[in-house]
Amino acid sequence: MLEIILNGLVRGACYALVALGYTMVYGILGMINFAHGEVFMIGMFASVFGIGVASVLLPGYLFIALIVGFIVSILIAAGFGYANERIAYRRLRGAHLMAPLTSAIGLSIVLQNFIMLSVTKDKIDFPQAQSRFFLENQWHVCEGLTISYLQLLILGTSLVVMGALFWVIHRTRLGMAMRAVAQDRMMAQLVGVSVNKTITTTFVIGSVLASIAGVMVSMYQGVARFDSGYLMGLKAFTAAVLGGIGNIPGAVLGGFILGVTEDLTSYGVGSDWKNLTTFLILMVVLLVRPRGLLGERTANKV
Amino acid sequence: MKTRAWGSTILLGILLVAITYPFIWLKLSYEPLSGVLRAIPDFKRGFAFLSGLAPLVGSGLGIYFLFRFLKQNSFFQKKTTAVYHSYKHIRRNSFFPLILFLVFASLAFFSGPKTLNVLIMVGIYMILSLGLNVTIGMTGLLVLGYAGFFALGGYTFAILQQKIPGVTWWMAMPMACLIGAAVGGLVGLPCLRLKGDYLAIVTLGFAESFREMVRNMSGFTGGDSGLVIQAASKVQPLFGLGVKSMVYLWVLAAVFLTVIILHRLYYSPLGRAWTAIRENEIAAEAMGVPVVKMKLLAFSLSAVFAAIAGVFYTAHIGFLNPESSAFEISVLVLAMVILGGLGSIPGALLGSFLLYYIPTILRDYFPTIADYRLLLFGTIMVIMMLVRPQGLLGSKDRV
Repeated sequence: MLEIILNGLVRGACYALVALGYTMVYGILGMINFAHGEVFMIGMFASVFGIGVASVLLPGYLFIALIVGFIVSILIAAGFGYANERIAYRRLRGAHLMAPLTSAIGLSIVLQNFIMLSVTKDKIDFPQAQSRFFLENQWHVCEGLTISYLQLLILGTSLVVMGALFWVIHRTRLGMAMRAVAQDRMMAQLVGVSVNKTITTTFVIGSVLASIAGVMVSMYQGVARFDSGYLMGLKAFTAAVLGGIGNIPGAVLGGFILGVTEDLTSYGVGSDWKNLTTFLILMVVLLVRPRGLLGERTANKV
Repeated sequence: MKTRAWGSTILLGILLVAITYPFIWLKLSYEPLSGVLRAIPDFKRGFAFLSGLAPLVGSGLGIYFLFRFLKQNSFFQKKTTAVYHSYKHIRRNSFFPLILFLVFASLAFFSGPKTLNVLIMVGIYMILSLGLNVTIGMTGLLVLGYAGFFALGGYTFAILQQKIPGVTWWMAMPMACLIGAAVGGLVGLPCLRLKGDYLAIVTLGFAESFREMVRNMSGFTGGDSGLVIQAASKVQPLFGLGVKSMVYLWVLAAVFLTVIILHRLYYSPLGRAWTAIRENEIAAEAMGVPVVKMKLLAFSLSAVFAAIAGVFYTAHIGFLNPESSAFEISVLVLAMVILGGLGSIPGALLGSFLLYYIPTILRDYFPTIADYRLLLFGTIMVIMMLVRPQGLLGSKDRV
């Protein structure tokens, strides 16, 4: 039982990292970033390519290759996040709500098919040479609870990254600018905040978080596919809504709750039904408490 | 153009090359035993990808320059205006739809089975895009999982004819409509009270969950292998016409009926309320439009049209599997509506014709084009939103 909850927490940590990107963009723009799941998928692929290049250039240094994989993944995902904002959102910021939604969906379809056509239709493997150390070594905590180093890595990294994000948002000038833009874009502009730069930075930070989740998930599952981002995006969005979209602690909480619920469903009902459970959770939350668990009720701005 | 704009464009270009470089120009080779992965430069695959892209880019640029040329050519403009005016004159005639129907119906008598297949599929996609246009174009709600309702209609028919032998497609039609409307209402109810983008993701989740549910309940729905329609439930030949011709005629009749219904609805108080919601929800509410009710009605209605198209599709193909609820179909229909023009009935018809027919033709010349279809649709969605958000036939003041 403890093991199942632990697995759920590990899964939930990844959901939470991706959900943070959704919730940040929603908080600042009031729109869903539909291409976010695709950025996560690109993070997966980029890390595998980065490790591949590093093991050609520096054969034998496994950990350096892994770190290079992380860095390449972060850089490329940040690039895609930036391009996403520039292409699909910036020019349509003043337009009707439908326009940026549609262009972002179009972009996510383009990204998915670009990877499918240029890399492969099948799955690619995450190199065992790099992940073996984390998979094979385990830490026995107590009776009936064993944590592999990879699970520790995922939980640890995501907690550190989330802590860093809270620090950035609440203690730095950039975070202050982000909160200001989220509150009132025009007012922020009037007091000298560069709105464009702040929004771009938000997209880039969200993409970096998604790519970190991507590297860890591909390491955990051992494979990456061009359509991995689709379901991940759907679930991370559910997590964000569950916690209250636009609310950063809410996204983390929602991610953990969703992960644990999914693993409990797989254990109790069968793993075929776990995606359906996610959808049911989303529907029930929207019906009962549309602002999410931690969200506050706000009036419509006219 | 100013130098600064050029500079940022070039920078964006360099960035795009940098971030796409590994995916296009590197090849992975993995040794499962030692677990070592190598990425080596590989130009052959990259060039293969780019050459597959070439016909799309080429035809896109060709269409763009053709339009630019025609726009500047005054002789051509005079001619098109003349044709358009005479068309408008003919259109006012109340027999015009009937004549158009007869012209298209006559195709049933002398077309080969291959042409008829394409025409039937175009017709089914026309019903789908007309139905989706009710939510996206008229009411301004984005629906991403439209294929879910399409599959729902199909499965209603397939399961009915499985359980009760002898149920024909037209007997299943009212049932499919009812179930489509009910499920549409159920799915729409939680999210239509909220901002528009929730509906997009909830419907996306609905299509995905529906597919998974159908897969899991294999005793009832046939699971992955799908359901086969019995011969007695398919469309029957009539008046000495073949099965294909009859399916074509029925689909054609359904398309015409849909067009007439939607045209009448669009100019009714209901359609005005939908337009008001699309233009400004808060203002509409302040004017006394029951926003949630109207949105729910629009969404249920579009689910009904999807269910009708699903029944036709199942009756035509004679077979149904969970893939009918795939994201690809939702995207295809969405791209049709967006290309043709949001909120425009002729636009939806034109969009579904272009996006189904052109890939079918191109497939004969470039066999690889089928793989690039979704890439094309995604690009169309982005470019249309950036360049001409109202679509090919939509008017500017409407969206």
